[in-house]
Amino acid sequence: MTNRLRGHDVPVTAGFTKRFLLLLLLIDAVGAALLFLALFLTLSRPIPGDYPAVFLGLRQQASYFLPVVAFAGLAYVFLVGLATAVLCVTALQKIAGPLYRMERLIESYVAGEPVRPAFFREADEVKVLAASFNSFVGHLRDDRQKWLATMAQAERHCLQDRATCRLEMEKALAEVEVLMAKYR
Amino acid sequence: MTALQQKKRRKIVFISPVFQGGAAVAFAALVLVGAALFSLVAVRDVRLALWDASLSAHFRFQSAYEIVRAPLVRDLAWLFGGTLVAGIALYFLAVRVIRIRTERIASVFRLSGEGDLSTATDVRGPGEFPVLASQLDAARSQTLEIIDGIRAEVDFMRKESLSEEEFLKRWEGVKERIGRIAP
Repeated sequence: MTNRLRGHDVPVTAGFTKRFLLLLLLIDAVGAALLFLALFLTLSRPIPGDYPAVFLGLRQQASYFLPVVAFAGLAYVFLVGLATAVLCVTALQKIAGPLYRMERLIESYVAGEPVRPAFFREADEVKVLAASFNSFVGHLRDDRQKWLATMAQAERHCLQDRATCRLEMEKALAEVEVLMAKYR
Repeated sequence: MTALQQKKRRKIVFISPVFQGGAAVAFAALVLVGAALFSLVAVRDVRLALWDASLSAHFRFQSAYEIVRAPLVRDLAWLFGGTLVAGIALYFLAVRVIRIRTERIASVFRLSGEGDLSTATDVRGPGEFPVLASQLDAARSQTLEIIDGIRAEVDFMRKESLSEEEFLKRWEGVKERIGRIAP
């Protein structure tokens, strides 16, 4: 039942993936660089003096390192986490937007309103949904036209020959029934 | 809508709290875990390096950074690489879920076009896809209901001996019902 989609039908395009991963790489790289800078600035203070001063200085640096890393780590989480979250929200808008529009379209279909064809923007992903929805509605409309045309044909016969009118109509109904049989 | 109004209209970016927000939280959690692991490892490595160096403090050190450079850079490289690889893995996992669900819904649309209006779409879980799938199922079952109604009516009209007037009334009714399909 599942049909693998290929080419332009792929739900998420290679361009979308490339952009997302490049931005993720950039955010991670900038985050790591900022964290390095913060730790470098903390640890690169010169240690003056003789043996006891250096000994004490290094021991103090060792004990102060935990709060320094904790603070720098929190800043890193805030910056990188926020940037990644913004990236997710903006990137996935290209998928969530079309899905939302599809939901509205199906809602209007269920409500019995005239259904417009689904149209996705150039930058949108999951375009295959729009194409398959349009094809579904197109098939239904084609069949509806066929059924109505069969009935209209019988009505034309009625105008030509009143005697066989009922017979033609019943024949048309039988034809419609056969045409409808594919729907289950 | 004028061009100015179109320009002024705000573009809604945060459309689905579950879908977009869920992904954002998952990626942010990954960053949090990475930073927590880095903090633990970096504190241990740097402390160890500084304590070791303090015992040989008769050597001249310009700064503590000179001592901890190697472990710190290594830990930062692990943080960068780890969060990136985990982020990429999470991305491809999300794309896989999106692809499977999209393919499923698209194939159900295609099957519906071929006449199968009763097989359930069967897309479960949180997010936009199950909502769309349930709406699609509702639309299909409504269509099938209309078609079943027409079929029953047609069957009735063919089998029962109706008066001319009654037959014509029902004939118009069938046409009206057919017109309700995909208006």
